[in-house]
Amino acid sequence: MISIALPKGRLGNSVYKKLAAIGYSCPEMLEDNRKLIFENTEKGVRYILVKPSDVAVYVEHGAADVGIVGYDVLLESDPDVFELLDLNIGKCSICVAAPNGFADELKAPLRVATKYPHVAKSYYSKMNRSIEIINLHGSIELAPIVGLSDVIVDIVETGTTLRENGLYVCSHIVDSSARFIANKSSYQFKRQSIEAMLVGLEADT
Amino acid sequence: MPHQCFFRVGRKGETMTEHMEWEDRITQVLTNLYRSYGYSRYRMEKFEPYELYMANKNYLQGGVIAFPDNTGKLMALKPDVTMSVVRNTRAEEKEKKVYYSENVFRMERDTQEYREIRQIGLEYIGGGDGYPEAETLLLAAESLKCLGRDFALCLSHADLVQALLEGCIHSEAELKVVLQALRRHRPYSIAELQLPELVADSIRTLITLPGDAREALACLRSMKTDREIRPIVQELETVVEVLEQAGFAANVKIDFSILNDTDYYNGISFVGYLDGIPKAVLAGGRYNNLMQRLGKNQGGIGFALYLGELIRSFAAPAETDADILLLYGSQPACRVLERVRAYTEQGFTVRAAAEFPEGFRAGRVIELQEENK
Repeated sequence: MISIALPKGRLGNSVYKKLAAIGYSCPEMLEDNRKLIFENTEKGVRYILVKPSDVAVYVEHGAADVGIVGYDVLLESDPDVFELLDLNIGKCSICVAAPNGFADELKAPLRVATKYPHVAKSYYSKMNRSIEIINLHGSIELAPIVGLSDVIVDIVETGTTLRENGLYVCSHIVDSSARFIANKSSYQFKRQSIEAMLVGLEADT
Repeated sequence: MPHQCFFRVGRKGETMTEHMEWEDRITQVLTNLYRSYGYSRYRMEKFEPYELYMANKNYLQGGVIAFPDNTGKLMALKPDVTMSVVRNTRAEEKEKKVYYSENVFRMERDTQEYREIRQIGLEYIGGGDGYPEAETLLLAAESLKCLGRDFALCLSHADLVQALLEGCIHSEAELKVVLQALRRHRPYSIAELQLPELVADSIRTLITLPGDAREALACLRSMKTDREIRPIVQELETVVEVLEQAGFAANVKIDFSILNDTDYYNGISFVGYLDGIPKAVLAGGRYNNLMQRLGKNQGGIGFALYLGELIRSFAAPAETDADILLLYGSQPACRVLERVRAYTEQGFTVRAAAEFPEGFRAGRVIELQEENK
């Protein structure tokens, strides 16, 4: 039995379709219910649906053997896992965005609202720019509009949300996409199954 | 007599009763194993001069608990055993074999919190390269076997990675990408770098080596490279052969995701995994560079087994707190003690109490007054 941590939402749904197509189906996943664990013993697979930012935690601690997670999450949490494949889906970028017309005048520490504090600190420390991190967990775009921060560091997919909230991308930090990750110990003992899955996903990307 | 369950482990088949805690049992089994190969016990001071660790901060990869003693000298609460063993090695000691069973205190990487870490391990100082390496790897495999589950002993070699990268890496950032690619088994990130094609292909080969050690060695032998790596591959082959001959062919793997800091480590590095335990439970390697940094001429190799992860998985909760709960009410102490001794001599564990202790789980409850009825 191989357990797979999938992020809830669009990315998880899209990866499930890929996995189902290469032999890891679990029809119960498509039913309208609130279950979080789905198992198909015949196919030897168990799916665990978790919050996208928690996928790597489940895999690193062995609650799941493999998982699908955004590179943005891996950069932020730096889990001790194997990153076996770039799935080239769920593409986005981590960017610095600010209200239209904003210019950093370097007069005071820059207030940065983000759910990626490590990425933001690392980015600004390379520029030797002092910052004050404001940790948020959602609706990051709101922060500079209501004066909570000067800028935000967040993922940008199409830029529509930023534009609709009067923000623009000042700088691009790094590109992100979904990655297929594995627990280091599981990889030693379930290598054949994990590699079979890897080959199937690779052929599909 | 209570039911006796024997725990047979190790070459000489030592036995112990299940009354011993799992941690005590495994400690005894492993220390017997190490003693049988001629290792002597190393006992470490709880407090050591902080300056030793300050000068080698990267070796520990985590914070040290430091405090001033009453003379103002900064001391550290023992964060590491290997460094202490090395520091206490004299120049004239050509060969030294020690084992230890110690608790160390340092910051954990993922939680960034100080933790007490229970370690059992050994250090083989001096004695050349060949035999010490073979014996250490064999004892690492035997130690994992003692734990009674399927295990994997993964080997790597720092000199091979260094030989491949020499002269090709032009910045710290570039080196970080290559090392991360190896550590994370991330072959696709190699394309981001401007490495010579032959080197990039070699790194990809290291990341994607097959799981079987023999197949992996064949890949290394046939790897196209202009670097002299044959002696390194030969060294790995020798160790694999030793482990195969000892019956560990299915357990040994070659895995270049194991990369230690080359300021301290060189040569072979290894980690051990147990089926069902998510993190490595054993780690070790050759540390001649650490020896040199601390002014020693000998070489050194060793490993540590981390019991913290294991205790969670192996130590089954006890069903009872004692075999017998002896309720003595108002009986005189000498009579109570006489009965307690009689039961303990028969091999039972006994708790004597005037009244029933709340929440106590006893195999049998005996009231002293009723004993003679």
